[in-house]
Amino acid sequence: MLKLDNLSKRYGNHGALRNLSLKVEEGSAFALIGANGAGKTTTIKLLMNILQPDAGSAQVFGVDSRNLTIHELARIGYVSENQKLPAALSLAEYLAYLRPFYPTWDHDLERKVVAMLRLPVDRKISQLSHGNRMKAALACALCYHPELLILDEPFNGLDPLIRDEFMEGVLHEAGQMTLFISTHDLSDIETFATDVAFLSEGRLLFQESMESLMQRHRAVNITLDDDVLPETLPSSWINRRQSGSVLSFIDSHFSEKQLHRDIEILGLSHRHLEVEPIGLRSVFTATARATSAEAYEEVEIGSSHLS
Amino acid sequence: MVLHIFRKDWKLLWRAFLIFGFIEMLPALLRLHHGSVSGQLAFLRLPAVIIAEIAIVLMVIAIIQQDAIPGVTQDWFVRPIRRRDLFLAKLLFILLVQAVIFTSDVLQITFRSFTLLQAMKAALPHNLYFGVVLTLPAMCIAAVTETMMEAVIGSALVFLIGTAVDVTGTFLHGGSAYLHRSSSRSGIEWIGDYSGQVVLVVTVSLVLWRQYASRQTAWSRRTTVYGAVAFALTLFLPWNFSFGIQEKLSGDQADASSIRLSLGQLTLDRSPTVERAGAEPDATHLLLPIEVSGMPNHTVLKSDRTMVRLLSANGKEIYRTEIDPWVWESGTPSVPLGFFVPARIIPLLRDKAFTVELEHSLTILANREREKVPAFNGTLRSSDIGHCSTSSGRSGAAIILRCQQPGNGSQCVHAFLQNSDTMQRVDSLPGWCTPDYSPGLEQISKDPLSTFGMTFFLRDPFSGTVFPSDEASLRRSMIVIDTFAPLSHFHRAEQVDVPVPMHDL
Repeated sequence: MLKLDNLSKRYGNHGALRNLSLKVEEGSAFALIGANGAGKTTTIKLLMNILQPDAGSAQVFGVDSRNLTIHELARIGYVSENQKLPAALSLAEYLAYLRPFYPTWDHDLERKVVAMLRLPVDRKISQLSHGNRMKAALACALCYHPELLILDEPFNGLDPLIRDEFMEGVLHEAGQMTLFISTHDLSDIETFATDVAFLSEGRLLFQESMESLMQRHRAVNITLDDDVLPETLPSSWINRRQSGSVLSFIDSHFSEKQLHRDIEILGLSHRHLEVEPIGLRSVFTATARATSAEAYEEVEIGSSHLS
Repeated sequence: MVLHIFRKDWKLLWRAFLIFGFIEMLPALLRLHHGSVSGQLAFLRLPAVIIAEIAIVLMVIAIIQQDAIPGVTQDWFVRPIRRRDLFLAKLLFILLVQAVIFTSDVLQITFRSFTLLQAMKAALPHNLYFGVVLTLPAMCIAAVTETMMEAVIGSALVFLIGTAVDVTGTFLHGGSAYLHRSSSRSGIEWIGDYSGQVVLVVTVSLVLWRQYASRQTAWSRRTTVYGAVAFALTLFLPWNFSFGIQEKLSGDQADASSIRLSLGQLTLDRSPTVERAGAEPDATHLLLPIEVSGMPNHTVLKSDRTMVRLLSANGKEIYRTEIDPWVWESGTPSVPLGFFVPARIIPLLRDKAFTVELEHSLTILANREREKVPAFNGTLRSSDIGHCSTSSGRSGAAIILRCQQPGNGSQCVHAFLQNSDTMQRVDSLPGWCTPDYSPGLEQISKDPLSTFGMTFFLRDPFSGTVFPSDEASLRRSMIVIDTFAPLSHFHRAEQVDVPVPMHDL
């Protein structure tokens, strides 16, 4: 459905996206996560041919994004937090304007979506609140049964009630559509995302199915007999903290057998071992911290080599 | 989908369009109200025209920017909208804008009692003018800017830079307004104008094509700047280049080949009546008579430009200047060509042999039509020069002829006042026309109606000759108006050696 191959984009000297490669399968709910400025919006704008890549390529429905025609665009729904809808039209007028462009436009679905999202269709778009504008953009993206729905930071600035309505609207009509959502807000996607990719400073750190991601991350607390740790610990133990004799970390490649073997090899005598599953937010923050620490170390090593 | 997009834009802009329509009709309403430009509200006409021009620019920008092309947030980028349809929808709306301008022009002309056909014939080139010099650049600026504010700032910058270039050029060419282009106010001015307009059309076409086809905003902005620079350069086309084009266009030079020019002796002009405007106070005025022979019948010879160079004995240029355009009519013995030489140059000439070289750019004008209008409250309706009327000046010291015609009135007109009994004759002021040599297509003009006036003074201030100005004499007098059309263009260079010594200097 979507394929990115070594996609790169620079803004002046700043590399917004660096050799990004990823694949989104048909029918998946793919979440592109990353902190602000990680390159999520740039990725989406490149996918939609709003921006042109400096290197690499992006394919949508097997077509290079630079050559997207009206036939492909008619199959894509797009909602972005900074999308400019024609402010002087009412939502009803804008929906009427959009209808003829989409051969698959569904009038019944339009009525249903507008009612479900409780949108004031006769009010001018400029007079709508941010939340209602986002819902209006969603309505304009759902009524033609898009095969691919791209949501770019849809939850920014939405209060919880609107956020629920928004997601309800998305999921209600999701059906067989492929969902590609970029966000730094993880609580809302945890329940429905099937795949996750994590971007940091324009680079892809990993792409994985949600199931495997959640399976391989665990929070581990070991109460040691003494508070002395060996010099080297496994690299999969990230976000390490030691408080007295308690060592806490996230095991990013968790298997019960391997954990016990590692403890044994390291000769860590312990009184208590506690392993707990963690949420996506914890996976995200631990990975983000580990990445920044690695980057910091890289810079440190680089500068010591130079000196 | 073109009409569908157009309807959306119309829904958004119909109020602005109504206001625009009213503003465009203002010049026509002013003409309807007071008829002639000398009416009580005449002072409102220029502001009305300027406001109307600004309104065109704003309207065009608003139309294009309903679906702005630069940026990354516009909703239409992600919609299955054919860019060709989007462009055609904008073009359709802009044609409606042009239609309003056309209607306003037609009304203005028909209010002055010209026929609908005449009005439409004149309104079309005027419409083309606005299309090329206002609408297209406005489309270009709107296509490379994201918001109305950016576009307005862009337009203001273009205007300011254009004015700066204009003023700089004016100062570089001696400070006379509109004279920075060497061909300004001459028959070949159209070459510079058309060159600029071709640059505009090419630039805007490229920018619109790239923007609507592939949204290459950075490239389009650069092209816009290059186009603006190229347009500015057309203001500085050299005379010889422009006149060379005119010569090539005039084709057969058979009429010109039979013409002979001969120069008389260079003399010092001691006349106290020499017009010294623009000359240094202590400059010396020299006269060089020129004779013309071999002219075809019913023609006059008009110099479009005559350059004079003073060369030393070894051929080095001492001084160069331009002589005011002159006209040779059959029956004239010779035309005295006068030019000023600054005081600092005189020591270089005194008691030395030198050569005067003249380089003429010339046009043979053929007499096309002769019209007559009574000098005393006369009126004339002519297909050639439009509607004319005569009146006495306020003091009764002059007869004034005023003519108005649709379009730019490119005819070259020369007129004189003549008493039918005595055949006594007074030439008009200004004397000879500034013709327009543009081929075929009538030169596009800023005003749908052109007006020209001539004054015939009844007493010559220098010779003291008086033209009979009592009502009975004036009733027996006619203003004779000759119209001329260009027959052929050519250039000639002549030299005359000035023997040693020229004591007068």
